[in-house]
Amino acid sequence: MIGCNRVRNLISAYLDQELAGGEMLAIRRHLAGCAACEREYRATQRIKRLLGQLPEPAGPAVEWPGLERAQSLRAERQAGAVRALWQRRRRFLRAGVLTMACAVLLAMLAPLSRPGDPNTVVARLRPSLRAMLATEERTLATEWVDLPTVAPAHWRDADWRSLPRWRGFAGVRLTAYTDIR
Amino acid sequence: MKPLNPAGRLPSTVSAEEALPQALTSAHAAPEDRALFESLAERHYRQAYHIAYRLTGSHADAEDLTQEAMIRAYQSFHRYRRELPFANWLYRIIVNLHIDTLRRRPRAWIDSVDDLPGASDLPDLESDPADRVISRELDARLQQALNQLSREFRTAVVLCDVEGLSYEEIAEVMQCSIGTVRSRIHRGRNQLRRLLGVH
Repeated sequence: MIGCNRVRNLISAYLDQELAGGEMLAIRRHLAGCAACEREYRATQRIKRLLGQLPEPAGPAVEWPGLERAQSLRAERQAGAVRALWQRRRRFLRAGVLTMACAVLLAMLAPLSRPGDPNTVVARLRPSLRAMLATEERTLATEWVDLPTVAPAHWRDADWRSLPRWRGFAGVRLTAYTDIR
Repeated sequence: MKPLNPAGRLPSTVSAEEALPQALTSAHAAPEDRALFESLAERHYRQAYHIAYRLTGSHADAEDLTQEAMIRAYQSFHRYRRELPFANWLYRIIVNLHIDTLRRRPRAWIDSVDDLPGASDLPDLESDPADRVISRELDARLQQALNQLSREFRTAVVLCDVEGLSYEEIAEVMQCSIGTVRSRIHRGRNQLRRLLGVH
């Protein structure tokens, strides 16, 4: 007697008639009396039939071009592959050089862009904001000052960390405003 | 270098071997071998292309793979045992080349299983003869499901169900045991059933 698990493991081989006579017979008998295994068999058979019906590709590519033509096509493919490789390498190289150039430029410009004193910071603010600061519209002014971009690093380091998170920016801005003043 | 005749062809005194580029000459291939090879290649190329297409899932890759396999087959033609089927020898070269290609190239894309058809979309070839012609869309979906199988399962299933080779022949092509072929076909078909929703 053959069990369902064994039958299901052998269903593909049974379908392909790749089993010995005794096993073929045992599975045939089992399938005749077991609806679940019969369903498995039908489903596997359906897959096999679908694959067997797949059409052959058509078109000029499926004709043998002859040895010489095949060889010249291969040479073209290899040349194309080498070209593509070099293009990829050139792109990487270009990106690397550009990145390094940007890094060098930033390193050179960094000291210039660092504000040295409050007046520098004020000078970098937009004119409307400078006007607000001058008229002491503090509330409005603090909403507009984007300290992380205009303030010297030591302000940010000193004040930002000491304030609760929820009022961090406003607090720093107030400090900055006071310092600027 | 010998001059070309007015028709732009090599003079007739040039042998076939001389006319071939160096890369195409086989150390042990006699000129008559080339004619034999050309005729075998012509006869089996279409089916080899079909196998290559089902293995790679792309016409461009299939063309490259089949032509490369043919060139390699010619270069090793002196090792081909004439009493064995040429097609199976050629398939072995295709399968090995395909493995090499996959090793060199990372997997480019994986289709989503969600895009595959449900069981209701698949025709029942047994019940309705009108459905025996597989539509282009269904062909693409089946190919998509095949592409999702592992290389070993896909090769075994394609050689068995598309090409109709016996387990023994597949074992010879894939250079493994018949038990391994049986297991790969069984598991490959089960995966296809799951992917296509056939229960």
